[in-house]
Amino acid sequence: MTTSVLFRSGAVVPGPDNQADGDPAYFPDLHLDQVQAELNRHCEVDLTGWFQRGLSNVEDIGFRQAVFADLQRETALTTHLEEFVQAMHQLRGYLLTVTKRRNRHESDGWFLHAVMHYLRTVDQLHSCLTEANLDSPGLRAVRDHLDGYSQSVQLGQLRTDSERVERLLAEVRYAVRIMGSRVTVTLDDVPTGDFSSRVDRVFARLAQQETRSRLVVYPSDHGLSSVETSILDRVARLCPDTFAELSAFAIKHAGFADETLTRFDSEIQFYLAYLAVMTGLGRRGARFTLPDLVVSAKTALDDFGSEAFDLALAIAGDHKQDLVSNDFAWHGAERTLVVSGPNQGGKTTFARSIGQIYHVAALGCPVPAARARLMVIDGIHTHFERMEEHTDVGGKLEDDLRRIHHVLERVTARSLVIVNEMFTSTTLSDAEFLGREIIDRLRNIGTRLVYVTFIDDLARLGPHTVSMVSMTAEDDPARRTFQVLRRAPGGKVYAQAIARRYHLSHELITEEVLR
Amino acid sequence: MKVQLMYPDRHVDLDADLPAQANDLIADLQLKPLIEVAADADKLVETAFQHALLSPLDDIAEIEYRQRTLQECVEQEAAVRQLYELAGQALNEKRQIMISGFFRDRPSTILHRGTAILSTMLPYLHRVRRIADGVGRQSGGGLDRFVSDVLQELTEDYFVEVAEELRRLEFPGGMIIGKRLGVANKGEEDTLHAPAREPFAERIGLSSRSFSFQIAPRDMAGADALADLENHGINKVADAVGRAGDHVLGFFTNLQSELAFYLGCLTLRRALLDDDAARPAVALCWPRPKPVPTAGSAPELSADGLTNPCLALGGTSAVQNAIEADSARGVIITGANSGGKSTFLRSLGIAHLMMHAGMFVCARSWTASLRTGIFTHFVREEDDTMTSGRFDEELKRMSTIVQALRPGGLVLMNESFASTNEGEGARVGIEVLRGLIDAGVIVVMVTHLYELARATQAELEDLLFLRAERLDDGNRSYRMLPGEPRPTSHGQDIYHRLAPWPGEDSQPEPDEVAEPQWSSGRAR
Repeated sequence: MTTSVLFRSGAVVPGPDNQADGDPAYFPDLHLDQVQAELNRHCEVDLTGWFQRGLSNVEDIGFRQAVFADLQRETALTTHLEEFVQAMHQLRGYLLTVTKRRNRHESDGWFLHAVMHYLRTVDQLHSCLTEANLDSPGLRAVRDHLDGYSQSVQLGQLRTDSERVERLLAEVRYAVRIMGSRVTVTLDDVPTGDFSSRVDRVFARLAQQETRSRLVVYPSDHGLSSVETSILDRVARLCPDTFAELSAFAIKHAGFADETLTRFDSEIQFYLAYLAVMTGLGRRGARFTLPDLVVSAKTALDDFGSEAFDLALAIAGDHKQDLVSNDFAWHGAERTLVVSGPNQGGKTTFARSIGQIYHVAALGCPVPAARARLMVIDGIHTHFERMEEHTDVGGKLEDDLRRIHHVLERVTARSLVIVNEMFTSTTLSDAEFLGREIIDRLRNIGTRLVYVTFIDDLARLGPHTVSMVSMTAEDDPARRTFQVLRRAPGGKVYAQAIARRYHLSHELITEEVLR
Repeated sequence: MKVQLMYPDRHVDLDADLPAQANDLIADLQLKPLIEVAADADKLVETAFQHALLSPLDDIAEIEYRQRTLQECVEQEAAVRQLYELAGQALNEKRQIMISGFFRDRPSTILHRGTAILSTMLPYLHRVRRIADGVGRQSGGGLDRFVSDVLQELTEDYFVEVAEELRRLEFPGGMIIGKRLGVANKGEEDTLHAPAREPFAERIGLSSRSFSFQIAPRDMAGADALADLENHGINKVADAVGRAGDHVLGFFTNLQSELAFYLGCLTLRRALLDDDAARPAVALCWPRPKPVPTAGSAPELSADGLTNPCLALGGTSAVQNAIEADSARGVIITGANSGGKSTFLRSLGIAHLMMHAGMFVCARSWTASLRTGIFTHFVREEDDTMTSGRFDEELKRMSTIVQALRPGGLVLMNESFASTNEGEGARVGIEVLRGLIDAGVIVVMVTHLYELARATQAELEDLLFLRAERLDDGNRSYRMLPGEPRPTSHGQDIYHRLAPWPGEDSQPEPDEVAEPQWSSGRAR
């Protein structure tokens, strides 16, 4: 049975690159493609397949939430796992080098190096998993596997063999004399002092402040030059038994890496990449939470997210406003959040953040919000203004209607629909009529709907609609606050502006100087 | 053998940042003439002198170390000038060796250049030794330490040893590099065997077998690889030699930049003591620095015969002033226009800077608490237009100063808060002064704002009030005497300053210069 940290045992276990049906259509609209790209930047495997496939079973989601909870609590473990991933990456590099080197002694040397590195990596992974307090079945299964693997005869043999060969090689001392173009190699059994330390000593008297080191740093992973391989061949002739052992070792242990660890290496990167993005944003004040999951589809809803923010915008920008967060909620009979307010006021960002939260929640990830309770949904559908220009206005309206019709055909009471500025190509009364129809129909199905619009009246359709308004600053209506609040449409918010001049009052000066 | 003339425990760093207010100090205290005379057209001296003047020491022991060293330099002026010149010559030679940069050099290049530098510098070290031989024991300051170090370290035996080592570095018998097997069996942990005369086989042990091979004459890649091997082998020794070269150059660089400040002081001292018609002599004294006042202790400030050196250097007979401001938390200076108030304020600032730099001070006696920072807030132009922009700019500067100030700091204010109307200026001014004084900042303020001066008198305690003296005949003595602020009549003052007026009997020209009339180009 395969050990996986992404999928419960018994579930179908696809690899990261298994893409059943391509990009979910809502990915570009919700900027989840940007989030996906950022996650892929943080890891070596391509997470696309895993990131796009939402889970609809609460136990599958809970399985991953438990792993996230372990990793968020056991921060030392997370660091060690990052090191593990790094180490496995390095291991692959070493093994590639083994196949590329033409000199046998050099290639065997790389093999030995790879084995030693692998043994250390296994030990470190085992000990960090043992030291951590694990609650998640996913990580526990990996730990149990390692308990067995560490005690296995196979690994024990690998260990003792590699240690012996390494010891033999470490004992070799040789000397090289360079006289013009002639090189002489011999075993070096008369150690003499290091000339450079003597030179150091003689000139130490003149020492002033610390001087910059003149040591030339040579990259350590360079292969051997033609002269070095010639020298190595002669060293091997001077120590024939040692090099015979090395060669036998490489043949005996080819293909030593454990398959389960290789799989764990790629799967754990899903978690680590997401946590790395969270940590980066956390330094700028962003908060994430593992949402409470609600399973049953009751008529009375009780979903909410507080301090939700747009993950893609937060990743892309470094401005304060990129982290503006807002609250959303569906209570009781509420089904439609109608978002209105000034242009560029953060309406679309707000709508996107809601969609993102439901998507990453379905992946089992912490969501970009301070607190959240969400129902497990069966799908997300979006309708955003298409970028391409329609020369034929009627064509665009028809296209809009066809697309939303397609959405209506597929949604259930467990779906989430996000509509952004629909019907901009028609008259106001048309747009209002069509909007009202769509909202009513989705309300009847029971779907959660976020409807971003410039038509205030759509926010007054009854108890199932919630009006939310993007706000401007109280003292300067031209300045957007990017806050989206539950407000009657067209309402005002009271923000305060404090003008501080030069801090030159008696008290402030004394305070500043004595600080 | 460290050259530490500026600090008892470290080298001077002329690249270190100056305090943020340095440029204001230069402009407001009019330091340029002082620096130019000290520099005598030597760029390095100018930099070093200016740097020291504007980087106040905050430790009495360090100030005394500089005072002692400066005293030694005064006594050994000829040797000091010789050493400074010698260092300059040595560094000049260096430029001929180091044409290209050091980055990305191979160890063989570093080794070659290092030995070249050491060979070139050896004769100069010899000459340093000879100059040191001529200087006797001193008083335990920096120069004394330097000379005794040289006498102890640069011995004849040592010169012989260095020459011997430089010969070995030519590797007459080939290079022998000891190695072990590292990652992927690459040779590593190179140990360069010291070059010696015996043949390789004897040194390594005759019992060992050996295998040799030859790089073919046309094998360019092989030759490069061999050079790499050699470079790896000599990496450490090249590092040692390269750094040794750096140390010797560092020695001369330090010697030059540490002496530069003292050279400037020597030149300035001669200029100030030199009494001739064009440039009257000025009294100099060693200042007595006192610790920064704490909550329990009062600030100190007392001086006698205090002058502004810039005036003297500019050829004006400098007025001598006295001040007794011990335990005063602030000094308010009022009085007639062009009465020497600004000049006096500057002389206070310059004396503080010179004391903090470990220099002599232009006074007969000077005692003052050390300050945690010296700041100036001077009106920027002699322009009384009351525009809100100017007042804004003024307050912005004040706000910057407040942010940098700490208790025990000193702020010299010249006509602050004058760019708005008198009532508003006084109200803002009194707030600022009260805030600063409550925080333990010492304020010395020149003001013609009677409202402000009167308010300080009424509302603040422990202030000293000085007034520019006006003689009975209406002329000014440029002396500051204790005296309370008085409402002044600007009109009368200006009227008198513009005298003679047409239609009167001709009078002698009043012989007064409010600001130093500086003629640059004068030297020594």
